[in-house]
Amino acid sequence: MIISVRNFDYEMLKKELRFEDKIVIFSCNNCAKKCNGLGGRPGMNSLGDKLESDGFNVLHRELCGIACSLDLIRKRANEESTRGIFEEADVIIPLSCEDGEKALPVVFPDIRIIKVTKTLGIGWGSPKEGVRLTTPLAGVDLKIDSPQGITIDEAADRLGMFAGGF
Amino acid sequence: MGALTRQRTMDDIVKELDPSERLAVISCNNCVKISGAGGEGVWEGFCDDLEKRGFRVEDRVLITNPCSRGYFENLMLSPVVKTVVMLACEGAQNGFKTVFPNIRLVAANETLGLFVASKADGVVKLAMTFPGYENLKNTEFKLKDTKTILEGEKIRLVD
Repeated sequence: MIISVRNFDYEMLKKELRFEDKIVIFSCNNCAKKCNGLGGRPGMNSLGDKLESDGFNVLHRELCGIACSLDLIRKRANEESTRGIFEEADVIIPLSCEDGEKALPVVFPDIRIIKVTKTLGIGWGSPKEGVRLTTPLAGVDLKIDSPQGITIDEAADRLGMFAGGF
Repeated sequence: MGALTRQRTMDDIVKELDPSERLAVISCNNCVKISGAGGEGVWEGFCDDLEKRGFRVEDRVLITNPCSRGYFENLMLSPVVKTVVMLACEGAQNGFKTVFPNIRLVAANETLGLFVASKADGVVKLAMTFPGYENLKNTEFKLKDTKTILEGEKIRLVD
């Protein structure tokens, strides 16, 4: 399971947006959903509702099974039900790991992608104990020396970032 | 989804095993399948190969998504099994260790980093790396075969 947190809080995100932007929220429904609701439907709707209530133009909320699959992103660019939406969009906000954030510009090179997440590494999740980061990526300044790992909240705290959804 | 793994050679793996012990082989059936380092279609042959080499595989277990530790919390291994060989990423391996601290775990795979994959392009690309594998960042591997590095670049990622 890929463990990601946010490097943006909501106020920081708003500063990246203009009211005239046509925004698509692109939410991964796999690992990111399990990261305390960063992605998935809850993360997508939480952010979408906040932005709309603050007057931003959320053109579309797109849920993607796994955002690290280029094929699934391409499908959205090509299929009739979503093609027009992505042609019209100015901004995509990915609620996914950085793999998803890196994959989106491959398919949508002319749309501004706001990278709001930081991927820390991998770990495991349990209904009993929540999601635990055990194996940080290169360049992530966290030392973890137990298979028990650390919680997402602890990882985010140590790095000065934000856990879970907006 | 997302962890790119590569299977160690069988010769290396068996150096860590004792032919007198009874083993369980546990495989993930998610990300490792994208890498060709485990999962349905690989795990069965891996077990057969071990047995051909004289090892006794007592339990063969295929788990949809073992980094969701609940699968391990409900797993019943044969009592004679003291060593597990695992075809999964390090996240799943660590989850296993917390549930079965007294069972020795032998990793059949190394975890290189995180991938972006495309079946259409036949590529699994190493987008982010774990320590020790930084030199392989942005390497493209053949889909379902991370022992094969592809020439050229089919997927250009933007950092």
